[in-house]
Amino acid sequence: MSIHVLDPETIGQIAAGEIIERPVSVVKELVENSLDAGAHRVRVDVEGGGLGAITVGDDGAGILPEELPLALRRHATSKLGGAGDLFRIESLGFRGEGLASIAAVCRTVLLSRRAGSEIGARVTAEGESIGAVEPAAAPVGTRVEARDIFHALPVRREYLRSPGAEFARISAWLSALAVAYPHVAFTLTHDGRTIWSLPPAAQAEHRLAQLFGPAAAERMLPIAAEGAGLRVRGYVSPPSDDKANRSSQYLFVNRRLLHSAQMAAAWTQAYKSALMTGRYPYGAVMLDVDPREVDVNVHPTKSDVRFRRQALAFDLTRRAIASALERHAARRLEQTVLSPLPQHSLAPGVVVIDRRDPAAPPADLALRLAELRAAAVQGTGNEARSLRVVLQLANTFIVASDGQDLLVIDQHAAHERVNYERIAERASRGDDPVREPLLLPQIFEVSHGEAAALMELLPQLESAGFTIEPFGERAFRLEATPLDFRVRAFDLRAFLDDVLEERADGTFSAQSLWASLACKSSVRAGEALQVAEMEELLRRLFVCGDPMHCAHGRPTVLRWSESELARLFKR
Amino acid sequence: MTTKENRRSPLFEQYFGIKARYPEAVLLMRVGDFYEAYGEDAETIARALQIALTSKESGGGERVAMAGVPYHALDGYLVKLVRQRRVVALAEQLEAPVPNKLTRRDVVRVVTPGTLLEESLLPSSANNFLTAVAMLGEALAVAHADVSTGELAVTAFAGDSAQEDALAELARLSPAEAVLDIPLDQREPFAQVVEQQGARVAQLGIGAVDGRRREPLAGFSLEESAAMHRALDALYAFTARSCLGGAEALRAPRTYRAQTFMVIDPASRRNLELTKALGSNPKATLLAAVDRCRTGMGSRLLARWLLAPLVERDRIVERQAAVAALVEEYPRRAALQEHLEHCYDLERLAQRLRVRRAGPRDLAALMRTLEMLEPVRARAEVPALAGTARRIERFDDLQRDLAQTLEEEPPANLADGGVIRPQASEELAECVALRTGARERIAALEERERARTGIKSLKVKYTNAFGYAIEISAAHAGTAPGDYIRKQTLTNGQRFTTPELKELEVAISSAHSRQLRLEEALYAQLVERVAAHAERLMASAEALAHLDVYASLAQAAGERGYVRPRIREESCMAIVDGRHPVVEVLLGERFVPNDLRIDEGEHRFLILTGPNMGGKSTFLRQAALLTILAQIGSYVPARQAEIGVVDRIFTRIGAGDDLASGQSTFYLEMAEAAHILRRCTPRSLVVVDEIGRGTGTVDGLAIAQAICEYLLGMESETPIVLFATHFHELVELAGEWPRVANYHVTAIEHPQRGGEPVFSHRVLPGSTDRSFGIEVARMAGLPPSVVERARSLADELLGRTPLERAVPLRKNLARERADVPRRQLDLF
Repeated sequence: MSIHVLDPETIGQIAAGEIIERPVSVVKELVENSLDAGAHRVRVDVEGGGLGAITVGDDGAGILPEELPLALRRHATSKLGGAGDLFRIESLGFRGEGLASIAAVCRTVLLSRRAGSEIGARVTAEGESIGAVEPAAAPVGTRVEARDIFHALPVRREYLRSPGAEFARISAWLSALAVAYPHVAFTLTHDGRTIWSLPPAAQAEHRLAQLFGPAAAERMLPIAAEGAGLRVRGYVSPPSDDKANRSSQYLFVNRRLLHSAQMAAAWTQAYKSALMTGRYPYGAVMLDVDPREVDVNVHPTKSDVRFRRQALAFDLTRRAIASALERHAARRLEQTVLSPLPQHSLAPGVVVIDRRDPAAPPADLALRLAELRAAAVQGTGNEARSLRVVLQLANTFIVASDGQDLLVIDQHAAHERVNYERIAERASRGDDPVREPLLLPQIFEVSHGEAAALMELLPQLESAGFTIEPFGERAFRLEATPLDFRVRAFDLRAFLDDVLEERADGTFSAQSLWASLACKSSVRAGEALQVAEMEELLRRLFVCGDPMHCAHGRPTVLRWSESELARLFKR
Repeated sequence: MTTKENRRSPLFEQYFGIKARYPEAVLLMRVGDFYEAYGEDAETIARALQIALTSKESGGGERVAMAGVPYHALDGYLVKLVRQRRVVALAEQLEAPVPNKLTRRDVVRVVTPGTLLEESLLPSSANNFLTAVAMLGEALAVAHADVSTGELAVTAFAGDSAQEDALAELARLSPAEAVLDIPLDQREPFAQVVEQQGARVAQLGIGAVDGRRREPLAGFSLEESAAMHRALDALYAFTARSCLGGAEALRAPRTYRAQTFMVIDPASRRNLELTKALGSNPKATLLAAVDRCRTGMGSRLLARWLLAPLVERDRIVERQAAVAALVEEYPRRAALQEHLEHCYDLERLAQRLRVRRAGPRDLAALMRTLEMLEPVRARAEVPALAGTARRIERFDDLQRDLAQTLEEEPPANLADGGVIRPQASEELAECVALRTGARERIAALEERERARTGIKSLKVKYTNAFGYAIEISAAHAGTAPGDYIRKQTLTNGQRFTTPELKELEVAISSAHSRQLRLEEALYAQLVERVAAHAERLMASAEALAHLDVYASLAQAAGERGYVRPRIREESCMAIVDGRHPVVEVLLGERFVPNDLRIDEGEHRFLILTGPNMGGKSTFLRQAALLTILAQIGSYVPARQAEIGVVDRIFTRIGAGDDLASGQSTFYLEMAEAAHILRRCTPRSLVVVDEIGRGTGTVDGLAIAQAICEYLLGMESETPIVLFATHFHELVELAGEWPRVANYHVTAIEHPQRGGEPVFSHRVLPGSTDRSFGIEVARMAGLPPSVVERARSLADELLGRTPLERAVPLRKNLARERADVPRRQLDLF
């Protein structure tokens, strides 16, 4: 093929492809336009995960009929006067590529009315062809419908994921953006159903409550710092409160939502070792910068920015968060010092955590199998070798140190993790569990509802190593348990409560069954342990795949470094 | 005949004996695992339920028609019968059946459409009213009760409009069933209204009403009071007949005056689709647009509010403040709703307790709901909500009692056992211990038998159908000891029992039946103790319902962008960018908002002209709906709103021919108009969407103009009137009456498609004579030749008709704009 200039259609498609990667990109471009137009309400209607249609409607300024075709043309914008403006961009969009790109890859209908116009106007576009402007009824504002994304690019369409997954991206992006625009109402619908609707928030914190839940919003810490033309504000989670991934970290620069590895690092660094590996803080951090201090024209999707003074931005953000955390820690410390010492810190062994009703007869259904200790499994955990157990606190926590850091381990959570990994490993090998018959079968009675549920669960419990048979009306007979649980008192009643609850919630799975098994067969809070036992537990814990969390995702270990202790002591 | 009856078997004697006492009902009698009906009733239910009709030997070689439904499926069949407006009497077995002896049976419940109590038979979000109308001299009383909530209220009307008002009240209540204590010759209109609502007119002999108490009720005349007592007595007699009890089955009656609410006549309520949709989409109602209630109690209260908006400004503002507190504080609203979500229908729970028909699950639901009361109260601790929150009472003792006595998740039927905690009674604990002991001995027996027979695979198994048995595999079955009694043969083994095993089984089952008897007694005691709190529970339920509605209105306001309207004592309206709350939901962001301004004195009679499909009807309805929303205390869909309190809303909105009543469209139109002219006050809102269409043009125009002039010439003041018409001549009224202002919906011609109108859906000052009728006809698909012919005819007619007085569009517009400059809306 000889060299030739590409036809405009192809050029358009290629250029559009850089901006419109997937349905969420359409939503992003359109919603940013709405916000730039001063909208107070933005509504996003999605069909088929965005693969069908995306409609964004707003009550913004609207577009004059004669400007409608122009709005669809590439490099046409009302937001940028000339090249000089590029270095002081205050709007979210500026290149005039958004609508044009959408029109290039979607069948697009634009409907708009300016305040003061008697009637609105509509124009349709598909690829490079823009239809005639027609009069149409419309409220003040703009409404863009983008249908059949990538209809002319079947290959691109193939790269899209399921409608459910694409919709999830849309929902996640839009809800994150909403944090920076608390006074704007956002509504998202999918296939005619309202998925969520955020009323305008009277206060910025209310928007956080809408997204993170009222309880989490109450715990979050406000941050604020200013310096050298930069302002940082927002809300972040306290150290004890974290999530398993970064998806709830919202970072805004001049109210533009973006991903910046740099700034995310600043955020995480502020927490230092208050965070466990693999856990992340959440919240919203917003930077307001003089537009001349920042270059948003780095990436077609504007998902990253470049600061003129990168180090400064990084440092200010880190310090803003860190000082909020310090204030929080100081407040907590004050409370600790001021409140009388809790009883259990003096008398070990009085804290007993028991989910069950204390009025119930003591463990009449629970099975006390063999006594506590079994022969220790031969394990060599190098990682834990240097750890020294200092003491057992309140018969619940193990205090240990490696000479540098101070570690506090939740004995129950740690043991649960050890048990869970053993069960999971064996199950994944497909081994048949070794059963141990009970000397005396246990007969227990459950409620009607539980009996019905238990009947259905019997095959799964069977394959987990239990032999349970019906033995009378609402009565069952437990004949054997998995071998491992000889070593511990196994709380059958609590185990069943867990499993039946999960079944009712629909969260029941093989993993949750293992987790329940592990939990109910582990050392409990309030159980006294020998030093050797504790050392053995730590050795086994630190050879686990994920030693930092119990089977239910709660932390097992808290760690304070020497420097952190120093900070707490205000040295 | 007599001999035949004498030969009927005792069961049929019993059935027809009971039936004779309940002639109005279909009798279903429990026989074993079935509810059966015989004779005519069998034929009735076979037809109604589409179940098999068979026959049964009735003694003496005779056969009687029979049909029956299994006991566990009763609810489903009851629903069907009740929907068909039938009355069902349920006869239960009153003692445990003994072979060869006739079991005692009698009616324990008469189910009628208006006396439903069972959650399964009732929609959760709507009231189910039983009403009674009593006429005494000049007075008419209307009483209504919801048997499922215990609510009871009564009002009376006297004077010239008594009948009209009572009929309107009856229609507003939309009862499921009505008792009419009215002389036969005056019953017809009442029976008609009841039947139009799809409800049943209950048959109750007037003689059944006793009239002892005659003390006057506060705020009502002697005669009114007497009528009200009669209406109440009729209700009590009716509920007593349903076996629910009389006065004790309901709360103390509340009296009210219909004038304390905005009156919305039945036609308006229907046409405005307040709680019921006319079209196929059941969600297209005002209720659905604002109902975000988390409980059935809340939804029911909200529906009631919408049908009876307030007319006192202070009360409206009080409700607004409660809603506002939750609009402004999202976290509070979210937390409140989260807790409400976990509340069961406390109102109906308490009522089932009051009439002693609460099942174990009802008590468990009560227990869980009580746990929510404290957190709900805590969330409502702001001044605007505190008054409501204070009405939620504390039930510490009751909670403790329930927690100690009732199992957390009891079975639905008391007879299943396991309802009462064994710890609640020593005797009960003993029964449980006996059973456990016997089961352990069975397990030990297994060990022993294994040793004795040497069969390792010997096992004691339990099945629901056969109880306990010793199971031996086929290979060893032959070696079973001599004292083993064969019970069942399986494909791969055999099951046996032994005298000892049998004995243990008997021990278990006798302990079980003793436990059941004990539980029954303990449960009855518990229900009595809980029922003693019924009235307090209901008061708390009411408070919960209020909080639920406030939160619901707050949520709708937030989600849909409503504003808090300023409520005015003056008769005026100023709405900026108002939207139709229902249509905007269906259209999404495409809905075109419009302004509306009504002043006191001038500019309060709007004549709206313009083409069909232009949005006139939506605009008219919108004004009525916004007024209703504002007066229940809700926010309204607009950018700014100021609304003067309205005492009545009248609508004359084109409805289809009422073929059933045999009245023509035109007649109905005129009847509605007559009603409006007779009843409207200067504080009313009158919405007229076309009038005089069903007759000749001259007549129609003449009538329309006369109606307008009547309203304009009213002695005191003109009500607010929104008048949409195709009679362009009416715009001339603006020249004579400063109260009249012309508005029009706009359309422009499509620049590309010749003549086709494009509607802007905007309502603007001025008038238009462009109806685009022929263009709309063309768009609707009328053949081109017809359209062409219509066009030329129209041109001809315009040239010579004597009615043609229309001013050309442009000229007219200009004049209107000069006359009524669009004043700046001065709102806040």
